Amino acid sequence: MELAVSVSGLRKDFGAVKAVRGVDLEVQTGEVLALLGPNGAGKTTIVEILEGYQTASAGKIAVLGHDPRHDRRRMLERVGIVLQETAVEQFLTVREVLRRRASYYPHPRDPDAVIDLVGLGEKSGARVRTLSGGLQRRLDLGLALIGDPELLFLDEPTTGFDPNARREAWDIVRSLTGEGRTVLLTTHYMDEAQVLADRVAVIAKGVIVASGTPDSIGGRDTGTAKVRFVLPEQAASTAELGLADTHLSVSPIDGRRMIEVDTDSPTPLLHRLTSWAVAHDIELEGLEVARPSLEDVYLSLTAEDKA
Amino acid sequence: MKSLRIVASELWYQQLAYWRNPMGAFFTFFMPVMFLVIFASLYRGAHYDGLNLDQYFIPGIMTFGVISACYTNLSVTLTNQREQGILKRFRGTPLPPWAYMVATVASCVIRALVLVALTLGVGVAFYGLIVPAHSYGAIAVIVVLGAATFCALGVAITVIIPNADAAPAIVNGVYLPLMFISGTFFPLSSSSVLAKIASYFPIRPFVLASYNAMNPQVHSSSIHAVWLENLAIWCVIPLVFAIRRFSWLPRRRS
Repeated sequence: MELAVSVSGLRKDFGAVKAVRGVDLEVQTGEVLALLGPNGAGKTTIVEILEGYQTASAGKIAVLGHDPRHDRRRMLERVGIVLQETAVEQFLTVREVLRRRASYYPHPRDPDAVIDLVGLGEKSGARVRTLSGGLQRRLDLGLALIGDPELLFLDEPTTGFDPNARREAWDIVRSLTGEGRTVLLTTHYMDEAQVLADRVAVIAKGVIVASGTPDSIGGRDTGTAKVRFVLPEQAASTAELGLADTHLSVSPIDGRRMIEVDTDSPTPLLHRLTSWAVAHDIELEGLEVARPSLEDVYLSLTAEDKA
Repeated sequence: MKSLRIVASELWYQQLAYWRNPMGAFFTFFMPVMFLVIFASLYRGAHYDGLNLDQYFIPGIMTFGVISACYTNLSVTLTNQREQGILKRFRGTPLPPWAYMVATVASCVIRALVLVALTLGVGVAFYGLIVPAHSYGAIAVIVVLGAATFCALGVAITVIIPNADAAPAIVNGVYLPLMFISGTFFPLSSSSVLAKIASYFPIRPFVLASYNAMNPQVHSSSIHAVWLENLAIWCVIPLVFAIRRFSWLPRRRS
């Protein structure tokens, strides 16, 4: 499939500060890619280079086949940009702002259809200054969509939103991706990346430290799992449960002993454990198997970088 | 043709947004008229150059109006839009940057023209200002040149304004002292040191050219070429500077 974004060897220096230190990135057409990383990791710098706002210090960049710096105008006809901060003319109405923006594009969408899409139907005649922050952000999303873009850049689209507004924004973003549109979003919210992205690239200190699907990134699906349960009173020791050879930790909870086992192969371990329990007709209290959450992976990846 | 349509559409939306902000519009138009009324009562019965003093300072108020609309308004508006990220957003669309700038400047020029009509209209209607018919052409030339010069200066000065809070201080700090030593509101002897200093800057030539254009005792030919040359130089140099250095992105680095 054709690449919507292709970046290799991207570097950006601000004087002595190396903000981006050699990034390779490919975004497939129709894919939703999340750049996940802490503040100051270089996410916004990378996105602004792709948008053509900043010039790379080094590297090869193609956005829908265009050089974002030298072929900017034609690229901008095909992309939609949502910046971190909302800034729309306060004294125009929602419909006026969208019509004005529509006039810049060769094949714009119908402004009224976009108003409905982002859920501003009742506010189409309202002046922007009367809209709440959340509604202004929806308008922002509408503005980015008005040119019917093939590629959408969303720079921290829900920062500062309350939980409901975030969920609504996610719904809107998901409704867009079905149409074969490519989305590149940056976020420092793990749940946002998990919900929206087909693929996540974790970035820390200007380099990509891991990438993959939200479910597999950082070996989430294959890496060490934790098996927890409360040691039954009927069991004298963990050896009795067939756990003698495994690495485990025991912590007392309410006078009982909570067992936590780290294992790379939880299936045979669970088999031994549950076979023993069934044979003794015992219900294992508090039994759970946990894979590291995206947050665990993210924290360990970005922490390694700091060390 | 297409470019013209884009500019016209941008101009329409900018005018729409401007007139819907009643406070902004009110002060732009109220200030020069208020100054006119105040100075007219202060100068009641005074004469200059064998004429009623009104005949001197009302053209001065007119230049003040043009400078407010073009230089002050434009520079503060552009700085605010730059720092709020509005300009950055426009640079993220296929709208050609020049089209946005042309429409913004044209918006200011329209305000300047309204102010010219307003100040001269009030002067003629209430203060006995004489605007001789033969001077219309000269006034038009001077107003257009003045508007161009002060728009160029308004865009150029945004380059040295670091943030929106500093904008009014820098813009007025440069302009207000110069306005007074240029004899905008009262006559100033051309042989005075201040007037000599002011003659190197664009306000005094603009004021003198406007006064002479409307002076019923002299002909438009008394508008010295050196004044127009001064305005033209103060138009071209800032324009070149602005084209090279104007920033669409906020100064604060995140």
